[in-house]
Amino acid sequence: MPPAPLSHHLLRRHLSAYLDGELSPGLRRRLEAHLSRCPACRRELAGLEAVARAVASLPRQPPPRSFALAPDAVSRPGRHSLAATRLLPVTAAVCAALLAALVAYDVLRPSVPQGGTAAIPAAGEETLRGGAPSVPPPTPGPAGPGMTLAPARPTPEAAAPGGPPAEGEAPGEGLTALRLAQLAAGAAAAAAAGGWAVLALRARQRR
Amino acid sequence: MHDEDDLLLRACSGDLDAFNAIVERYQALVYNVCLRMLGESAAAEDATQDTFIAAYRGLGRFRGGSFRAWLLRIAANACYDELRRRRRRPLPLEAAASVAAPSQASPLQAYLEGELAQEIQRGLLRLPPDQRLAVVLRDVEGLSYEEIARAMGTSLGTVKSRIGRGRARLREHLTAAGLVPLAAWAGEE
Repeated sequence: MPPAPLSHHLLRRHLSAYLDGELSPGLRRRLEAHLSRCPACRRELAGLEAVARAVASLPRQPPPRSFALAPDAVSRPGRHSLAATRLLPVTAAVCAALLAALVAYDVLRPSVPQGGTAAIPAAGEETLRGGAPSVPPPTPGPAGPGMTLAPARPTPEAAAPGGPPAEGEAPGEGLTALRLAQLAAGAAAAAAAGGWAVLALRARQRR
Repeated sequence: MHDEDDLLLRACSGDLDAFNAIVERYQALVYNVCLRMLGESAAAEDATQDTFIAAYRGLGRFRGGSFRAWLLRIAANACYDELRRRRRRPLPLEAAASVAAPSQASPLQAYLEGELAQEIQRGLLRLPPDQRLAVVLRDVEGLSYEEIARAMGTSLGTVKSRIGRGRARLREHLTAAGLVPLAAWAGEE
């Protein structure tokens, strides 16, 4: 019976694995039967074998140096430095976003409906109230801006957990707390970004 | 392999000397695989060093089985990283294939062997990285398909087809380069 073209194409794909002795016994027997009748597949097999031999003839090079690790080149097996390199950029980004939010809050504040000078202390007070929950409720007057600014509240809260407690309603103190929060967020962002840059540079120097 | 397990356990608990004994054992393998993958000794050195650093740090994630396959998988990733960097800043292919063979044979034979090795290396570098790695692990390092599958994180069937297609493509390259043993096969067709 002449070899069907389909079986020829199907079996041909297995020549490379046949060469490596990686075929199941059944497939191997069928391929061998096919090989005995198909000169094209025999040539293909011989070609693949020549390629495998050529690649195997590539000389193995001795390593140019020892790759043993020096104690100061690595930390103990663990994920400390890995965690640090992954966490620092995230921290930097979060702090930068916080700073941006605080600055935006600062800039957008005068455009609050009440406008004028009244909005400033109220907003500052909101900020401080977030930082120190023990503070008495705000004066009933500027409830409007408090509502408007509510979404911005969580950010200063996180930014200045150790901020000075709110005492008076002087516009200066609210502003100071906001500036302090901005400063803290900016410094944290810079520190995290700086630390990350140092780690990245050190990793690059090692290569 | 008892000995290796012992070294691995000690290395896991921070014994750097134990880990360096493992490095000693595998550095030739890792370096040669990286060399064939990247075609250039300086890059292969870097990839080898990165592999052992990453292996030491990640030792806690090794879950038994073939340590060699696990290590080769890290090496493969180091090579893929380097190849990705190169795609952004490509090297001339000719410079990349300068992995000459030191030989004790006569100058002419050494020259011919060197030429042949360079042509094979050039052909390897023209393969897609997955096929190149599969062919190198099989034909240079003599790994079984099973272990190659583990080192490449893929199935036996995929390994089979990567090796098959890689060899077929390499054959075209070597035939086109007019290499004698292959020209004979080509003439038969």
